[in-house]
Amino acid sequence: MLQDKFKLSKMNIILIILNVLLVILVIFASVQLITSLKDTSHLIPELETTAGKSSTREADATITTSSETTTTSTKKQGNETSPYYNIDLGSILNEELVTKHNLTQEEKSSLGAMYFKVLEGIYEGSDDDLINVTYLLTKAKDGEKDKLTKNNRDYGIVYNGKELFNKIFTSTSKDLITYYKYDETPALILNRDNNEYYKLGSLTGKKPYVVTSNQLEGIDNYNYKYKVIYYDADYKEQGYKTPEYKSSTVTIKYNDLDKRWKIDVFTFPNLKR
Amino acid sequence: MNEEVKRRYVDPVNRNLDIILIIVAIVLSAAFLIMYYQYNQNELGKIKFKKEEFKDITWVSELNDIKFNVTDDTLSFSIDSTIIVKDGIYTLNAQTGEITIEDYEDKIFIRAVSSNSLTIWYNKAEYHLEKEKKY
Repeated sequence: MLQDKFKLSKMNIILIILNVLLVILVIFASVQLITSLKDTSHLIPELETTAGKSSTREADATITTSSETTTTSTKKQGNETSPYYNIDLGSILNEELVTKHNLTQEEKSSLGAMYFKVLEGIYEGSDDDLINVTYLLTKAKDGEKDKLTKNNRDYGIVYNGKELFNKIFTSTSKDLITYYKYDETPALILNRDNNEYYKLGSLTGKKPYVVTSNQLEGIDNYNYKYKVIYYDADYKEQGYKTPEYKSSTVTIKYNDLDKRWKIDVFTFPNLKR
Repeated sequence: MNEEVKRRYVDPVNRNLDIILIIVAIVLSAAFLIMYYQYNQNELGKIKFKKEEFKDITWVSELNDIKFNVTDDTLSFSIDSTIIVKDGIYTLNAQTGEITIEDYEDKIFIRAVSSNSLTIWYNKAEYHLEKEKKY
């Protein structure tokens, strides 16, 4: 009988021991990996904030706000809902794409393009698809909450602005969105009286743009960069001179808490922080 | 069969078992290496704040009159000319941005770092700081 004759050789024993050790290592590694993937302690905590005001200055701010609120209440005749333009979040954000964690390169590119278009709508305003402040400012009357004049510049309210910005910006970048300036003027402001966002009426001249190239820089499953190069479509001397190319980079980050991809950092050529 | 031939003879069953065990060992090694690599990448992805990115720079905010400076081991922080911490020994949680300072109860959090700006959270307020300009 084969079983009677068979005897493990030295090499067999060594290889069996090696395999046992490897099995132990694989089990250990798989436990470590699963623990690491499940661990959420590394997430950046959501912290309560008063948006850049120190506690000692809050008292001053409260006094100012209360007096201005009284003034506003007497003038409050504007519509509570948008009379002119409401952002349709459902049509501009592809929820399926935004909430899918494991994106393919193509999907990352689509998401980057979508967010770039939203940012372009907010900050460069080449068209009024996203926020039609031009129309709003021509129709809004003084005293209505839709229009706000600050430092001799007209701003129009961004309806659904808070909802939109909460959905697309990480908490850190949301605090910075009002820091971007165009010609030394903030492109977007947050009116502390009614806690609404307002967009500068005239930004970069309402030119449509043409994207010439885009590039992805993947960092990991939680971050990637979408770099885009584009130029104004109505470039006057197109064909005779090289159009003025601009480039923008949007860093998109997966937020574990909201289970969404959000804009973390972005740059626009005409804006400075 | 002389002694030398006997010594070198390997039973075919043992040889087949060796081959099977070697193949299993290779598969297990590959599985281990892949898992180790994934684990390593996942752990690296959790590190969001590196001290090297903001240490030895004085970060300021003219708006709130803030100064914030860290070295390898110590941290100094002042608001409105009031010194909150001076040369306090600190530890940074590279994943959450939480800064714990020795003998100091309040927490400071690093929220965002870029080449020109630093956002910190302290006492329910977020401050956006820039590099101090040297004239």
